Amino acid sequence: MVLQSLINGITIGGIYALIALGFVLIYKASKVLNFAQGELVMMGGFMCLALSGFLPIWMAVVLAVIISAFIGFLIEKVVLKPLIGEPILSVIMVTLGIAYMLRGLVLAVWGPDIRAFPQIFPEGAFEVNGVVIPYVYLGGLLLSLMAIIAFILFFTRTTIGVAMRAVADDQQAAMSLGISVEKIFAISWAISAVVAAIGGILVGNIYGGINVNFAFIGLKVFAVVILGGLDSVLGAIVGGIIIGVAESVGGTYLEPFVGGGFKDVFPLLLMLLIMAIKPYGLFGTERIERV
Amino acid sequence: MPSGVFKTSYAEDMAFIRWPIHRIALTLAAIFLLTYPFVFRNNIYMLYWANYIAIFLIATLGINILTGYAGQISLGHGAFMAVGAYASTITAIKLGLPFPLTVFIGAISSMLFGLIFGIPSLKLKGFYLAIATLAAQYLVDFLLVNPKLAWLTGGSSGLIVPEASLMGFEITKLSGSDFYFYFVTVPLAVFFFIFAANLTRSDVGRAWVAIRDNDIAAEIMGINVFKYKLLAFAIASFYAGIAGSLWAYYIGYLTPEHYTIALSIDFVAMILIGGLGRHWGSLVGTVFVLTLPEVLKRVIIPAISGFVPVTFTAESLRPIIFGAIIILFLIAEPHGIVELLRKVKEYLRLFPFPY
Repeated sequence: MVLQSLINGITIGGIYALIALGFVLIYKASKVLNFAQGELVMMGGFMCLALSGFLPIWMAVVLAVIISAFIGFLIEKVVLKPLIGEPILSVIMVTLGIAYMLRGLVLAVWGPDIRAFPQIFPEGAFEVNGVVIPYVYLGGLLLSLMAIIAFILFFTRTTIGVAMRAVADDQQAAMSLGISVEKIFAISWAISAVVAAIGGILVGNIYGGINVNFAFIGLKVFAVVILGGLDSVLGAIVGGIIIGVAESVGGTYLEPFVGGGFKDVFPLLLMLLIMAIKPYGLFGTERIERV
Repeated sequence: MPSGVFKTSYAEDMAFIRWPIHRIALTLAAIFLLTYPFVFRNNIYMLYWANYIAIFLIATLGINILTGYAGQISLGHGAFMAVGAYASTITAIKLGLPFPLTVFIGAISSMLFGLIFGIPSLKLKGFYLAIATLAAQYLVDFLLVNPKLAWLTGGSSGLIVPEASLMGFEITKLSGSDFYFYFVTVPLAVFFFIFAANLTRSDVGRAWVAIRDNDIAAEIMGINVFKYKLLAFAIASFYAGIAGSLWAYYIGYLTPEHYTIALSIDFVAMILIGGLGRHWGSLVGTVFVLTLPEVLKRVIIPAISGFVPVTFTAESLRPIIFGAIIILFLIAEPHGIVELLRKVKEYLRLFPFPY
């Protein structure tokens, strides 16, 4: 039982980590806090769902990811670019505005009902020492791990990745070295939308169905990034696993005592606790303010 | 004869009403508010709309004090409202306390709740505080629908709110209760508007503005930052509590669905669209945000329903248009409608010769 919920938690946590990486990426590059990350996840899921209606599933996945990249790119160009340098509330609110719009679009096209999600992985499960692991979980975990590794390799090995790290480190210095900061912002949004879409497709597979409330995942992502530190890639990964496990174990063992739905609030409680003790997370850089 | 308005004393310069035009405008506003219910005596819809706006204006004034003046971002204002609503309803049901007292109890409970969530503001800033208040919102939602607490809160099916009676006069039971309730909500809204306006032009208001602009600098200047932040939270949640209690009494039943995260985001949208740190902005924003869904439902959706392939309903069209308006405002006019009006006024004042 413990092992079972641990494994469920790690699988979900891996996907949270992936989605949180997208959030951290945008924050690192442009200091924008993306409240629409959950909606990007939902959008990716629905896109895949729509495309799988008339395409083979693997093509639908690839196409959904590409379209998501384009959406992310577009959001940055149209909405966030004019707001560079505006106060934090404006930026939070504008991403909330994007969240609203995506939500409305999904509601308009697909309605509020839960829709069955096309399965990528074979059905069934295998058993090790009494612990049942469905293939979906294994596939989800493997895919999210692969995506995370690809993400890290991209960051450390490619020119664009290095340029992105340079911009995250010091915008002015990066500019003076001929890096187009504008381009980096747009790319970071595109990549963020891509990882969100992958996350959405994986979670859709695990849940078996999605509806508009799927964007609730965005909230878990906040817990993850607060735990790990807003600007830490390692923090996002570690935080994702911790939150996933906490959610799963908390859901299994505490829910009978405190009532249904606790699974969704538990990560938030954990997050509040962490904020009180260690406001910059496990691996985040401490902000020093000067007047 | 003087060719303008000249102030000859400090008191005159600091007065609440400084210009003759303000006096005229306020008189007209008072006449408007007094004649409104009698003009629409038999139009329940218009009366409902006025009550709706008056009640939510109180809450919006609160969040504008907290976010617009003191600079503390709150994404949990709906939860503050919920606490007020539930506290007043529960005391009315379980203890049978009279209507005005329960509203007050609701406001005080909401204030205490706000104080608890104000304490982290000492350490948390900006985004972190926004997330903490967001978490508060979800915690309250969770507690309200929790079946383990259903004996108190009614769970997800909610509670029936007792009739509001004032001086032996059951306001919500009478036929045309909207008309009578108008005389509860609107005077309260006016009172809280004036109270907020006076508060923010006092030393307290200046301390808040100093903290909003730079809290470290404010602290260096000798402002007790923590105290004033807590005060802002207390007053904002007190306002929210009043609004929540009134709303519960007005609609007669209470379910957690009224006070979700969507409401909290609506409140932030109201002050951003209206104007941050301006009380008129609260009013304009509240009217705008609350009227928009009605306009959509009655005008825009019937107009477009024949042309578009997908099924736009009020539920789907509202978030799209609402999101678009928030984005447009933030890009084009970050200071809201009130600032836009000021610019228009300035343009008209200098009209033929803009230099």
